[in-house]
Amino acid sequence: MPHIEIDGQSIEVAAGTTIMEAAESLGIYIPFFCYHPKLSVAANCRMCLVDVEKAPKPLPACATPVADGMKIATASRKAKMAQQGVLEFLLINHPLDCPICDQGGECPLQDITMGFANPHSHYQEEKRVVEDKDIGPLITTEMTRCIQCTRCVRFGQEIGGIKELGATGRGEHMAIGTYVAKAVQSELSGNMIDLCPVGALTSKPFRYKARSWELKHTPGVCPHCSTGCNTDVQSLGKEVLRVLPRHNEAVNEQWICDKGRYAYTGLNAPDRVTKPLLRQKDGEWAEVSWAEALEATLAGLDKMLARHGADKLAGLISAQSSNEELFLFQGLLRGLGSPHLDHRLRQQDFRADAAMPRYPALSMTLEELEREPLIVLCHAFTRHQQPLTNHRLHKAVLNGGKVVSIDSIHQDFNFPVTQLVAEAGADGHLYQQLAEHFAHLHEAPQRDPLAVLAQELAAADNPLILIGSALLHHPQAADLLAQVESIAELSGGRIGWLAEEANSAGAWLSGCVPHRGPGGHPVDAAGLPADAYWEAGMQGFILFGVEPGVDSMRGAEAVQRLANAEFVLSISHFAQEARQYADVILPMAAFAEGAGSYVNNEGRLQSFRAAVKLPGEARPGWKILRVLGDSLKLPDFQYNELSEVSAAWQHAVGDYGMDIPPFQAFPPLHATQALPAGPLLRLGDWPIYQGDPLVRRAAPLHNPLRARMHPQQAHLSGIQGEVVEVSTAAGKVTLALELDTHIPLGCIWVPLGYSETAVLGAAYTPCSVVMAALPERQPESLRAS
Amino acid sequence: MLSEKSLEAIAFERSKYPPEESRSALLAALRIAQEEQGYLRDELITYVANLLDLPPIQAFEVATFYTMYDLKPVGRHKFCVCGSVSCFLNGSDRIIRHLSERLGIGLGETTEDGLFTLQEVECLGACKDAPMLQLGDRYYENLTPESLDALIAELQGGSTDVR
Amino acid sequence: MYVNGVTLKNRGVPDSHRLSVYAGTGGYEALRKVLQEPMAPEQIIAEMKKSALRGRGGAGFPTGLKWSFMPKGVSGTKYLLCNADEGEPGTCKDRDIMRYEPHRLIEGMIIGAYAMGATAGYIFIRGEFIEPINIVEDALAEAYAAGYLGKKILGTDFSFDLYVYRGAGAYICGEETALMEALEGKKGQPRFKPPFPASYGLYGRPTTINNVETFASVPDIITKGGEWFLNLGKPNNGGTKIFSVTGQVQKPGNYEVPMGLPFRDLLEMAGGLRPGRQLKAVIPGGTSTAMIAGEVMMDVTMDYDSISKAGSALGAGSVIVMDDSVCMVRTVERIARFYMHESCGQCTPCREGMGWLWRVMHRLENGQGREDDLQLLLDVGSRIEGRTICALADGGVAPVVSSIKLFREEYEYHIEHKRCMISMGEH
Ligand SMILES: Cc1cc2nc3c(=O)[nH]c(=O)nc-3n(C[C@H](O)[C@H](O)[C@H](O)COP(=O)(O)O)c2cc1C
Ligand code: SF4
Ligand code: FES
Repeated sequence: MPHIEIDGQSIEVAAGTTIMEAAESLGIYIPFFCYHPKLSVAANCRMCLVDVEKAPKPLPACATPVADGMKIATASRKAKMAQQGVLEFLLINHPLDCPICDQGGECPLQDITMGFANPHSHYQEEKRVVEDKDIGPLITTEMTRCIQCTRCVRFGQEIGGIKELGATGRGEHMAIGTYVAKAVQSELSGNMIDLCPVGALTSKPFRYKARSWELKHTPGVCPHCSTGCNTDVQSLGKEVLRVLPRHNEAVNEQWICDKGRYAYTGLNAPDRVTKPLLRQKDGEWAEVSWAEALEATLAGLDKMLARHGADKLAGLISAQSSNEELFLFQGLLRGLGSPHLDHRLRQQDFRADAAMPRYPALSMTLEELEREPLIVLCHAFTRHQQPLTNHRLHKAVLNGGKVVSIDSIHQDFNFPVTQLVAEAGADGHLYQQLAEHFAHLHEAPQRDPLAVLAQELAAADNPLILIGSALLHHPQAADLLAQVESIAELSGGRIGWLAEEANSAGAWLSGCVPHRGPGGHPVDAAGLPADAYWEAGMQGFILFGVEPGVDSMRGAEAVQRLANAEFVLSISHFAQEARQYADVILPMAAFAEGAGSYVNNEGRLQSFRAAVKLPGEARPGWKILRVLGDSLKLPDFQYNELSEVSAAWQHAVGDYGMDIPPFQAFPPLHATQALPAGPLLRLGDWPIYQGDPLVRRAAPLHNPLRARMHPQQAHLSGIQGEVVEVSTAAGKVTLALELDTHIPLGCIWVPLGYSETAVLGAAYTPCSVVMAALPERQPESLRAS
Repeated sequence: MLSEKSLEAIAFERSKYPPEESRSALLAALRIAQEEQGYLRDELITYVANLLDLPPIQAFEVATFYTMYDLKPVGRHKFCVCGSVSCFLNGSDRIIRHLSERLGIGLGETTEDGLFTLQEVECLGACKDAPMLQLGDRYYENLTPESLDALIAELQGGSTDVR
Repeated sequence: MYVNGVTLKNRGVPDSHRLSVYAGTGGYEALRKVLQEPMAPEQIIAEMKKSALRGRGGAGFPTGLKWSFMPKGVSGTKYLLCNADEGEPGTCKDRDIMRYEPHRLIEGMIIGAYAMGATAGYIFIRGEFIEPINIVEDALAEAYAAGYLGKKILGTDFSFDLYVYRGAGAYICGEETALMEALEGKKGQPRFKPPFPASYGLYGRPTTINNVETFASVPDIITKGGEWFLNLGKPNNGGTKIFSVTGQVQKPGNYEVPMGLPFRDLLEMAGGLRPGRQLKAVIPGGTSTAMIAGEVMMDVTMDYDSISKAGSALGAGSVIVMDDSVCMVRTVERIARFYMHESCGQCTPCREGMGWLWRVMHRLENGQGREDDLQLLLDVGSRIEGRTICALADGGVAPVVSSIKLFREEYEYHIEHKRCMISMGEH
C-alpha cells in the first residue's frame, strides 16, 4: 500500500487511489468542477491541479493515482498559481449574472471564485454567448453559463443509461445540448441539475421561486416508490419549493428520480381540499367545520351500520400512507367489526393470498443487488416502477451481471436486458414453458431463448428472481406466482419482491390486508379483498388517500358502486374524484405536510418529519383516524403524540426482519378460467407518472395519453390513422394511437391510471379496435390530454 | 435514405473493426452519406446513427467536431484554400482575394448558381507546395492567379474531372 | 550532399509506389529476414534500440524503447497504429512517404507487428489526403495479394491485418490518444494518461503507435543493422531525417538528410533565401516549436539535441523559414488562429486560452493593441503551459511567447503606431 504525504500529513492508501480521494480522506479540500465520485474521471476542467514533488508540471488530483512516496502540496505557490489560472479561464466566458442566477448561493463556481480567484480578471475581449436549448419542462438551460465540465453528459451516459445529452462542436464552440432539442426523457434527468456546478442547468419548476439560502431543509422519504429514496424537502413558508436527494449510500446514493423530484408540484392542484366538505341534501358540496363534518361522519356510519351491518363496510387505504396511519386504519375498520380492508386496489386475483410472504421484501439490500450475477425480472419494469432500484440493476450489469425480463410487452430498459415477451395474453404459458425446460437441461445446445434461460438459471449459483407489480395485476396472478415459485425451486434460486408502492411493505406489516393483522398474523375471520367490494354490494366505505376510479383495475365500475353506496367517507388530499361519490371529504395532510414512517422494499424503517405547515384546515392523517376511533369509542385510540402510535405499531408488528421467506406454503389453486378470447387483447398498466394522486397532478411530469400498438397489428386491424376507438365489454373510448413495436401482435396497450381509460375496465380483457374519425374537437387537444 | 452502393460501402467499413465496435465506422459512414447527398442534414445524421445502432447524439457530436463534414449545403465545387503559416508566407491571402473577386463571394459563401463555395482552411499538409488549395479529391499546388483562372474556366466549362 | 536516402529512397523512380518497383529495390527483404531467418522479436527490438531511431512524429521518443513497452504474454488482440494525420503547419513529409514509398511504411509496420505481437493495425490518414489514401489502399491490396499481410504471412504462423482509417478533419487527431478516440468513432479528444496506450490503447487493448516516417525507417534498420542506421546520424540521434523546408526559401521541399547536418547546408539545399533577403527567424520543428532567431539558427545543426540546446525542438522536422520581409505580429496571429481553431475544447486553459491569445494577437495586428498586451500574452501563456491534458496547448503558446521574446520591438511598434513595422504588402 502506497505511503504518501499531502500537505505534510502522512497517509497510507490502497493502490490505485487518486490524489483527490486520498486528500478527501484526510479532510483536505482540493477545488474541482468536473470530478464527481459517481462518474468517470474526465480531468478536463483542470481546477484540481496540485503540486507533486518531482513532477515538472502540476497534476490533476482527480485523475492522478498516488505512487509510493509521493509528496503532494495542494496549496503551495505552484498549486495556487495553477488553480487561479484555471479559474480565471473559467470565468472569462462566464456571465457574471449571479444576482439573477438560480444557482446563486449553491454554486461551486461562485464559492471557489470567492476562495481561490485572483481578484482581477485581465480579460477584456468579447464574451461568448451560447444559444439556449429547450430541453423540456423539467430543466431550464442557460448555456452561456456552462463551463463544459461534461458532468451532465457523463451522467446521461453512465447513470441515466440513455445518451441524450452530448457536447457538440469543438474548441470554444463546444456546447452541451440534446440532439435537435429533443426533450430529455430519462426518468433520472433532474439529477443533472444537482450535478451541474454552475447555473447552466436549473430546475424549471423552481425557477425564480426563491434563493437557496432562504430555504428550510427537512429530511424526507420519497413517497413514490418502494425504494424509499431519502430526500431533502426544501420549503419557504408554507410552500414546498424543491425536493432534492439526500445522500444515503445504502438507499439512493445521491440520486432521486424525476417522480420524486417533481411530484411536489401537484400539491397545489386546483382540487386540493383544505376544509372539510359535506354533501348537502341537494347533492351540492359545502365547506363545513370539523365538528360538523365529524358529526355527519359518525351519523352516516351509524346509520349505515345499523341498516346493513359491519359486514357491508369496507376500507381502502393507499400504500403511500405511513405505518402509523395504516395501523390506525385497520384498527378502525376491525374495531367497527368489519374484516374488509385492503390496500391492493390494483390486484384482481387473490387466490395466492395465503402464500404471500409477511411483507413484499426484496430479501436483500439494495447494495447487494449490485453484485448479483443473474437476475430474472418477472413482470417488473423497474425502470419506471422503482427507478433507483433499477439503477442498482444497471450497476449489476455494469459489474458483469445479466438481467432477463419476462413480461407481457417489450420494455424500454436503459441498460442491456434480455427480454422474453409472452404472446398476447399467454404469460402463464411462458412461465410454464420455462419451467418445463428444466426437464431438458442436458439436451444439445438450444437456441430457444427460454431454454437458454433455463440452462443459465440452472448453472447459476443461487440466481435471483424478482417479482414485479405487473405480475400481481395479472388476472391469473396466482397461477403465475405458483409458476415462479416452481422455477425458483428448479433453479435453486431466491425470490425477491419488488413492492409496488412506497409503503406496500408497511401496509402488509401493519395489517392492511383482509386476511392478516399487524405483524402478518392471520386474523380469525378473513375479509374480502379489494377487488371483491364492487360486486359484494358494500354499503359503507372508508377511503384513505385513494382514488379508486383511477387506482383500481375497474375504475368506472368502482366509481359507480361507490356512488350507489349508502355512505362513503373519503379522507383525502384531493376532491375531484371523491366529489362524485363521497358523503364526507376530510382534508388530510399531503406529502411533506405530515410525519410518519415507511418500510421500504428492503425492510428498512425510515421516518420523516413534516416540512411545511398544513394548508387550511387539513389535518395529519393519523390524527383524523385517531379522532374517528376515539369518537367511535373504539379501544386503543387514546394517542396524543405520533410517537405513541409509532410505539404501538412497533409493539404490534414486532421484529419483522429484512430476510424473510418469500412464500408461505402455497395453497392448491383452483384453475382460473382461460382469458376470454376476443379480436384483440387489451393490455395496460400504470405509467410512471400516473401511479398516485400526487404525481397525477404534477403538471411538469405529464405525458400525453396514448394507446400503443404494433405497426403490423395496426395494419392487420386496418388502422391507418392516428386515432382509434377501443371497446371492451365495459365501455369504449377514443384515443390517440402510437405505433410501437414493443407491443406484441394481437394486443393493444391502453394505460390505466387515467380517468379517460377507466371505462374500459380491467387489463387483459378482450377488446376491439377500430379507426376513429378525427373528432370535431381539434385533435391537438386530444393529444395533449 | 442512402443508395445500395453507399450502404455497401458502409458495410465494408464496418467489416474493418471488431464486430462489437461498429461505432468505429461512424466517421466513414458520415463521409459516405455526405458524398452521396452533398451535405449532412439532421435526418441523414440520425439515419446514419441508426444504421450503426448508435444514439443520434453521438453521430451529431462527431459531425460537428470534424471540419470535413458539411452541415449546410455547399456548392458543387468547394475551394478549400489553406491559410496556415507556410501558405500564408507564400501569399495565400492573395489567392483568397483573387478567388473572392473572381467568384464574387466571400469566405464561407456559395455562388448563386450553386457552383462554387469558397473556404479558408487550416494546414492541409502540403506546405512545401504553397500556396495550395483542395478541391474535391485533389490538391492544387503552387497556385498563381493565372493557374486559378485556368481552373475556374475549366470548372465553369463543366469539367467533371475535378470531383 | 543528399547521400543516404532511407525513407524516401525511391522518390523519383517511376511508379515507386508499386510493389514491383519496391521489391525490385530490396523491398520486403527485411520482412523475409525477420520471418525466415527468423529473428526473434527481442532481437528486432534490440536492433531498433541500437539504431537510436527516435519517433518522427514530433516527440522524438526512442522507438526501440517504446516497442519494448508492449506487454508480452497477454491474451487478446494487440494493436499497431500508424499516425499519418500530419496536420501541423509546416509538416508535409508523411504525405510524400505515402505517395512514393507506401510499401516501405507497410513493411515497417508488419515488422513492428511481428516484434510486438500485434495482430491488427490501422493506418490513420488524415481525411484530406485522398491521393495518399488511395495509394496506400492500393499498396495494401498488393501486399495482401503477395502474402505479406493477412493470415500466415510468408507461410509462418504470424498473421497481421492492416487497414486504412480515414480522418475527417481535426489536427488534434494527430495526438495519439485522440487518434484512438477517433478510430473508435468518437470526437478526437485526447485521453488523460496514465494509463498509457501500451496498456490501454485502442478499444482498451495494448497498442503502440508510431509516425509514418518512423515505420518507414524500419526495413533498412533490419536489413542493414541498427549500427548502420545510427552511424548515418549522430549518437542518440540516429539515421536520416526528412526536413520539410517551407516558407521563404527558393526551393521548398522535403529533404532527407543525415541527422546533424548544419542548418546552413539544409538552407542551401532548399535554394537559399530569395535574392536580397536576410534570414529573420526559423521555426525548426513545426508551429508548435519555439522560434529561433535567424543568426542563432545559422549555427545550429539539425538534430534533436542541438535544436533543443538552442531553445526549441526538432519536432517533426518542419522547418519554416522567415526572411526579413515578414511581419512577425501578423504571422504569429495567423499561427495563433490555428490553435484556437484546432483545440478540442476539453481542457479549460486550452479551450479558453487559445481564443484569448488569438483575440489579443488579432487586436494587436489590427492596430488596437494596448500597452500591457505583451505582458498579458506572456501571463496568459504561462497560465496555459503545462496545465492541460495534451501538448496542443503548449504548442499554441510557444510561437506567441518565443516571438515576443525575440521580436519585442516589433510588437511594441505595433502597439505604439497601430500598424506593422514591416509591411508585408499584398501578401
Ligand atoms: C497536438 C498534437 C498533434 C500531433 N500530431 C501528430 C501528427 O500529425 N503526426 C504524428 O506522427 N504525430 C503527431 N503527434 C505526436 C503523437 O502524439 C505521437 O507522439 C506520435 O504519433 C508517436 O509516434 P513516433 O514515436 O513515431 O513519433 C502530435 C502530438 C500532439 C500533442
Ligand atoms: S490541451 Fe487542448 S487540444 Fe489538448 S486535450 Fe486539452 S483542450 Fe484538447
Ligand atoms: S476536477 Fe480534476 S480536472 Fe476537473
